[in-house]
Amino acid sequence: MRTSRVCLLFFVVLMAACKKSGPAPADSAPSGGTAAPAAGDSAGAIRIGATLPLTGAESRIGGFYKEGYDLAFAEAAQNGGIEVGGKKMKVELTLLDDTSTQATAASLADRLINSDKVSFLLGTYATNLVEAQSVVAEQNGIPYVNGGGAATAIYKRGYKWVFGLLAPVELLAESIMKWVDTQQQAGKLPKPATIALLWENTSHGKDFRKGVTDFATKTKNYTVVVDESFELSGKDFSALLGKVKAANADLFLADAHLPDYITMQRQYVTAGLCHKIQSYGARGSEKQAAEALGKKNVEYVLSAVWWSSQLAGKNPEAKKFVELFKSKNGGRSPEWYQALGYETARALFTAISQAGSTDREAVRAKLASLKIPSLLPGGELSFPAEFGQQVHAPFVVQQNLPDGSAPVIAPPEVALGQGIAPNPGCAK
Amino acid sequence: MSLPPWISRRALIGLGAACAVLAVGPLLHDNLYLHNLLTLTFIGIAAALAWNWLGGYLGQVSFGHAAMFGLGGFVAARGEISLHLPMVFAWIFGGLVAGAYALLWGHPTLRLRGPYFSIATIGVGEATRLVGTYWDWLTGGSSGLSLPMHPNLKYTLYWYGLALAALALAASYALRRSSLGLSLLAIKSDVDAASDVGVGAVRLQDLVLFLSGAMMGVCGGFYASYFSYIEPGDMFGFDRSISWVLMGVIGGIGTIAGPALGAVIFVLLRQYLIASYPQLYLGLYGILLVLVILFEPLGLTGIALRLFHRVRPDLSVTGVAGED
Repeated sequence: MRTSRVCLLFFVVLMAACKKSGPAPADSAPSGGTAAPAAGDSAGAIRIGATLPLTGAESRIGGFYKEGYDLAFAEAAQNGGIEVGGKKMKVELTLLDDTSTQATAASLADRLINSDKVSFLLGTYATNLVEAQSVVAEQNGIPYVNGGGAATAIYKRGYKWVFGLLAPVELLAESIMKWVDTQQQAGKLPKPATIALLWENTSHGKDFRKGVTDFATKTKNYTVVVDESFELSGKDFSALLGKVKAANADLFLADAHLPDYITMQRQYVTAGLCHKIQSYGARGSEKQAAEALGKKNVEYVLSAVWWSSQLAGKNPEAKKFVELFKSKNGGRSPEWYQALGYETARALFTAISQAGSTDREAVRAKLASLKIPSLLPGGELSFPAEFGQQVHAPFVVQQNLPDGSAPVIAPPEVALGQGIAPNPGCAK
Repeated sequence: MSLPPWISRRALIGLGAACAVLAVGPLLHDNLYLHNLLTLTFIGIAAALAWNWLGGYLGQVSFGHAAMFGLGGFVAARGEISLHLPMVFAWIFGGLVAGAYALLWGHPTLRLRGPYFSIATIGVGEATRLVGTYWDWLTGGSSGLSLPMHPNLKYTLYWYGLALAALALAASYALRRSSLGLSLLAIKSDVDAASDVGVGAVRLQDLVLFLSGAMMGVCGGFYASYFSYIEPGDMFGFDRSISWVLMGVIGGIGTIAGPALGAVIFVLLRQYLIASYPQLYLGLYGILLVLVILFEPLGLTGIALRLFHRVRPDLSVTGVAGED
């Protein structure tokens, strides 16, 4: 009996300690940790809700997106708020951790809308979470702007309250294939070339597969010899990589999220594989991957991403963002995750300003007709109705080099390097 | 009309009163979040009780009940989308298919006892999840299925959820208190001995498994209607199967209403902890479970019984399978 009382006391003390160390109410500037609902003194402020995967499988990327959101809200706070109908209004972020799970992402969105009474929602990260969460936004008729869901399936549902800043993964695959095609035309790759194609079994992966296979069918210069899917957050890809090895293809193209990219590339290197062209879709240039795998093991990996800090040289909005991010983060360069997080929040702020009110329908209408200069490749942000309100900005293709850099190699108008094909590492 | 002797008038009045209070509750407040959270709690209650029919009453702990939940959900969703079945009929259809599926794998598997059965259910759950992910025609594959959205449907589902939870609770009571309950208790204690004295162990286990699977399937259908979007990874997920085990452990495995209490704690506490202590919620949850398992294996029901005995030591309370 005494033991149970001691345990009960321990539990109560722990709860109390948690209460003290728990997140503070969010103010107009974002908190350093996960923000709790703002306290009652929010008169005159616009309350915006968001969830991100701050724990669980996608926690690393969720943290990057949080940096982007934080920066946008800090910037707005520094400017005294955002201008709405001729007066400045503060913006408050209520950010919750959706633990990288769909059901939690959906139910927390419900909480943000119906309990915390936020006026607008910023989306979470990863296609599967956005797919589930966007339904709640649509059901409740609240503008939902996300920079974390790229699959076209999200935008083909005819939702009117959902807006996406990530261009479709099909375009991503096409961007990689276009660069590969220029190398083939230049005689650096065999013609026809064979492709080993691995894709995660999600909407994201299906779009990637479609992009590659459509391009291969259209040009008739490529044959897909391995076409296999794998489960998200896999632990062992050795069987798949065994098939890839047996096929002896020229190109190895995979679509994977960051944790899967790191796991798969480790096993790829261990299996002694090497291809003339190697890509993991949007993954490849991350510093975290180079640190986890070793710089040498990610050499010449191609990636196509929604943004690169190298755009700062040619795009004034990108330049402004890079400088702002570096000034707040001790000179560290941002990656596309932070940029998309920032731009997502900025798009919503701009729409609210342009609407001149916090009326949801007015802001939704403004988002639908938005056309503003942007840090995204192409320099403009809009949510075309014909694509279900999903941005259709171009991608930038990068390639990891032995010196640790990953210059943009396509499209030509923003390229800072030529790119190298075939992979010289395979000859060793 | 007289009630069967195993039905307690007090229990009947209690259930009716609780349902009446909960039914009029939404008319007294306008907190939509609480309303929705209670709806989710009702699904949790119904599913946890259904799990308990097998895991508690028969002592066959399943870690694969998400297979029936998911299958019922997708069949019901397809029924609504493709066959244009009315919502409730779609749930029932999903429930029947899920019940039949439970029998398909359960009839041979139920010969196993204890941990061997539990391990088999893990395999069933994972295999169903993988197959579900690739069966695009049924589940929409990894892209999942989106159901048509109807205005106010989510709000209305509260009362459907309440009815479902009440039905599951009544069924739990009936399964436990009727003569069937005694047979189940005998099977749980010793399946061979029960067979020797004339209890149809195979038939009764199949029946309970079918009922458990069917209720899970109905819950899956309800869940699909509630969220308007379902995806195999979520519906068939191992986490989901584990959650019903946890609800049982917290509330009291094998008791009539324990898993329902466990579901209330699980859903509400989890939501609160995730929103308030995101970095610590799993740890706090773990501590809660360790404390329950160490000091009160019958969970909240055990605590309630202890308190009751203190207040009224002259009265004995029954209702706990294997304990009364």
